[in-house]
Amino acid sequence: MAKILLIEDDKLIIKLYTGKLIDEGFEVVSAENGPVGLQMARKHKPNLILLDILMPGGLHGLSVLDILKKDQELQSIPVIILTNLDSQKMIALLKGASEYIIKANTDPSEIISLIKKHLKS
Amino acid sequence: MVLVVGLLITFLAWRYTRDNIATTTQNQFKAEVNEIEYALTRRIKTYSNILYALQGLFAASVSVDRQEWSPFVKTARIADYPDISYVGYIEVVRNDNKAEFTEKFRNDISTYAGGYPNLFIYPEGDRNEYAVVKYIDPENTESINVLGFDVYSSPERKAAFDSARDTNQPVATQLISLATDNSSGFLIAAPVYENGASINTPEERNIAIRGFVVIAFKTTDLFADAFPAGSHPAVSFALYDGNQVLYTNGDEQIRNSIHAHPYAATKTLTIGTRTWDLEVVSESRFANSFSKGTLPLVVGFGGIVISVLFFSIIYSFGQRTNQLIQLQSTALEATANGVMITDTSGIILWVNAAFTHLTGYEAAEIIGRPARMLKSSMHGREFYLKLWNTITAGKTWTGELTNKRKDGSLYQEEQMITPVKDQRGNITHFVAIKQDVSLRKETQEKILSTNKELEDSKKAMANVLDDLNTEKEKLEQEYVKDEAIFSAIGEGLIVTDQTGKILMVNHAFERLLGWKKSEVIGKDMVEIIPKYDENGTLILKENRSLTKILAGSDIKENTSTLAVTHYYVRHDGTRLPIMGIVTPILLNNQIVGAVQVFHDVTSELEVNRMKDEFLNIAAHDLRTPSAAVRGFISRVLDGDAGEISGKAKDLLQSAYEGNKRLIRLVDDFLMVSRIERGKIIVEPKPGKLEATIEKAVSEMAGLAKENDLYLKYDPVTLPNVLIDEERIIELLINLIGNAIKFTSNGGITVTHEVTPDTVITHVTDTGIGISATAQKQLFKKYFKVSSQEIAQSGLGLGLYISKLIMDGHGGKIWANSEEGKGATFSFSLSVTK
Repeated sequence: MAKILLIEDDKLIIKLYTGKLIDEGFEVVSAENGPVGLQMARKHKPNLILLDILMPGGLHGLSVLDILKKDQELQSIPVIILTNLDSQKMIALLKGASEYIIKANTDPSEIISLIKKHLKS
Repeated sequence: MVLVVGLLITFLAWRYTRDNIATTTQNQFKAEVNEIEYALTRRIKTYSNILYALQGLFAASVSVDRQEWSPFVKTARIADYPDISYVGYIEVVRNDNKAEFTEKFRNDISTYAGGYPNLFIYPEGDRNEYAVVKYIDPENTESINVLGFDVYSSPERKAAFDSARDTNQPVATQLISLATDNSSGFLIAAPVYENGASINTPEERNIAIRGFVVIAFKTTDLFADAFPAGSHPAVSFALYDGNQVLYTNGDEQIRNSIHAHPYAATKTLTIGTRTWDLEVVSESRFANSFSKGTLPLVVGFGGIVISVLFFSIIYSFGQRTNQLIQLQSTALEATANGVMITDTSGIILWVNAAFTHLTGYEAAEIIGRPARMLKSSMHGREFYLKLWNTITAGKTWTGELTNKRKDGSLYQEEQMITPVKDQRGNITHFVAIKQDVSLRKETQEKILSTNKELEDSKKAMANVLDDLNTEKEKLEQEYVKDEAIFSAIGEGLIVTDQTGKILMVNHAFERLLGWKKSEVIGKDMVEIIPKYDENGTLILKENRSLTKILAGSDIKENTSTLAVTHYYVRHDGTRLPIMGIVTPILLNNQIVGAVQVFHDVTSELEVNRMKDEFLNIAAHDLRTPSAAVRGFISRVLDGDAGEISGKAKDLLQSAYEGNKRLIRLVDDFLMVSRIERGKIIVEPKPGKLEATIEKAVSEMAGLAKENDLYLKYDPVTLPNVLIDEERIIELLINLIGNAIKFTSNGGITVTHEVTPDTVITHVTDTGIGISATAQKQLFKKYFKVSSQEIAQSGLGLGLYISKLIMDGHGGKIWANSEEGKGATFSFSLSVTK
C-alpha cells in the first residue's frame, strides 16, 4: 500500500485530500507546516509527497522542495505541488517537482489520477 | 518651445543681417571710392579754373606786366589755397630775344626799387627756346630763386608744357622735384597765346605760344588738404602717375595686391593729357570704421571756383573799361565757364564759347534774344522775381538753378549774376557766369543715393536689432519663467544638443541623480548616466532612446515614450527606477537636440509590488476555500459519499459550476493585472495559426458537444504569422467559450480571411447576438453584457484579456453582430515577412 505524505496547512484541504486518498486506499500522513513535513518525510519515507507552497512556520514549500531534492534518501520521492499560487510553476518544476497543480482548478479525482501515474513510474 | 523659437529667430536675424551687411559693405565701399575720387577731381577742376582765370588776365592784356600780375594774384588770393604752393607765369623766350628779355627783367622795378640786377636765365647756355619763370607768387626768399629758371631745360617739365601748348588745356607734369625747395611735387600749366592769334591746330598754337600760367604743388600739402589725417581709415588707396606713387594713405603695394582684397576699385583721373590712376582697396571687415559727414565737403565747393573766376573778370572790367570789346573777344572767351552779358532789360548782348557748349545756343542765334529763353519750368515766379530784384538793386545774385538747353533738355548750373555799373553808379549791364554743375550734381547725387542706401541698410539693421532686442527681452522673460518651471517641475529634466551633450538639467535631476548641474553640463548624457533595463542589463549607447531620437531613427509624432521601467545609475552608483520620455527639438525639420523628462518610479514600483503581493495573497486566499468547496462537491458528485438522487446531483452540479465561475473570476483578475503590468509578456514568434486553432478547437469540442452545438473548423494552409501560441489559445478558448454560452441552437464556425499583410480569423456563432450599444463596450475592462439574464455569463474580463493579448501582438480584435442573428468575433495577426 502506497504511503502519501500531505504537507498542507489548510485544515479543510487536509480533510478533503486525506479523505479522498484514504477512500482510494492510500496510507496518508500529513503535516501542517514545512519543518514538520520534513521530519515526517524522513520518518515515514512516503512513496509520494503532496506539497503546498504558502504555509505558516516560515519555511516556504519551495524551500522544503529544495531540501527534499538535496537529501540523498528523499530525492527520489516524487513531489506534486498542490497550491493556489500560479506564479511559481516554472521554478518549482526546475527544482524537481513532478507536477504543479492549482487546487482551485483541479478536482480531487484528477489528483488521484496524477498520483497513480507518478507512483507507477 | 521657447528655446526653439528663440533659436529660430536668432538664425533668421543672423541671415537677414548678414545679407544686409554684404550690401551695406559694398555700398559703403562704393561711397568711399566716390568720395576719394571726388576729392581729387574737384581739385583738378579748381586748378583748371584758376588757370583759366589767369589765362583771362593775359588774354585781356597785350603784355601782362608785374604791376598787373601781382595785385591780380594777391587780390584773388589764389595763393591762399592751402594745397597750392605757388602760382607763376612762365614766358616763352626765343634765343634771339634772350638778351632783351633779361635786360628788361633786370630793370623791372615794380616790386623792388633796384629791380633784379643779378637775374639771368638758367641753366646757362644758349638754347633755341626758353620758358623762363617770370612771375611767382608768393615771392619770397625761397621762391625768388626760381625767377629766371628755364623750365624747358627740364625734360619732364618740357613734356608737360609742350602738351599743354599743343592741346590748349591744363596739363600736369609728372612727379618732379620742385625748383623752389627741391620738395616733391608737380606743376599744372596752361598755355597763354598771343592775343588774336589763330590757335586752331597744334602747329598754330606752337607759333602763337606766349607763355604759361602755372600752379605748383607740393604733394605733401596737396594730399594733406585733400585727405586730412584719418579721413578714410577704412580703405587703403594710392594715386599713381604711371608707375610712380604720387600719394598713398598706407600701403604702396596696393597695385600688386589688388586682387587679394575683397573690395577693390580703380579710377582714372585726367589732367589734360596726363592721367593718374587711383586704386582703392579694403578688407571686408572695414564696415564699421567708416567716417561720416563727407557730404558737407562736397556741397558748397563750386562757390570758390566761381568767385575766383568772377574776380578776374570784374577786375578786368575795372582796369580796362575802355577795352570792353577786347575783353569780350578774349578773356571771357577763354574761360571754361559760360559767360553771358545782357543789358538791363535782360536782352543778351554777348555770350562766350563755353555758353554755347553749355546751352547749345550759338552766339549768333541767342544774341538779341531775352535771357528768359533759358528758363526751365523748374522754378516758380517767386524765384525769378527775387533774382531780378536782387540784381536790379545793384547786388550780386548767386545760386543754383535749372535751365533749359536749346534742345529742350534741362541742366543744372551754378550762376553768379553781377550788375555792371557805370561811373555814375547806374546799372548798365548784367554779367552772368554759369558753371555747369551737372557732373558735380551727379557725383553728389551718387554719393547721396549711396549714402541713402547706406542709411536704409543701417535703418534696416537697426530695426532688426530693435526686433532682436525685443525678442531677446521676451526670451529673457520667458527664460526666467522657464527656469522657474524647470526648477519647480518634480520630474527630472535634461536638455541635450544634437550630439547628446547636456545643455541643461533641473533641480529634480540634481536631487534624483545626485549630480550637480555644473558637473554634467557639456558632458555626454549617455556616458555620464548609464541605464539598465528591467533585467539589470546595461543598455548600450546605440540602443539608448536618446541616441535613436537624435539619429532621427525613432520619431513618432516628435515623441518617443518609454513605457517600460528602466534604471538610471546615480552619481553614487545606486540605481534609480525611472520612466522617461525623450522628445527631439526640431528646427526647420532638423533635429538640434532633445528634451528628456524622467519620472522617478520608486514609489510606483513599491505600490505595484504591494498590489502584486496583495493580489497574490487575495487570489491564494480566495482560491483555497473555493478549492475546498470544489473538491468536496466534486467528491459528492463522484459518489464518494454514496449514491445520490438525480435532483440532488443537479443541484450540486449548479453549486459546482457557480464555484468554478468564482475561481475563474479570480483567475481573470490575476491575468489582467499581470498582463497590464507586464508580468505576463506576449511574445509573438513566427508560427502556424492553423495548428493553434486546431488545438483550441479540440479543447472546446467537448463543451460544444455537451451543449448540442457544432464547432466547425476546416484547417487550411495559411502563411506563417507572428503568434504567441499559448496566448492565442487562451484567446480562442475565450471566444469559443463565449460563443457556446450565448448560443442555444446551431453552433460555431471558425474561418479565415487572408490579406497580403494579415490573417484574419473569424469565430462566428448562431446565438443571440449583441446589441449595437453593447458592441462598443465589449472590449472594455469589467464590461458585462447587461441584457444577459442567462446566469452563465462570466463574460467580464475575457474579452478585455483577449484585447490585451491582441495588443501584445500588434493586432486587432473586433465584433460584428445583429441582435438575435448571431455574432462574429474577429482578430488579425501579422503575416511573417
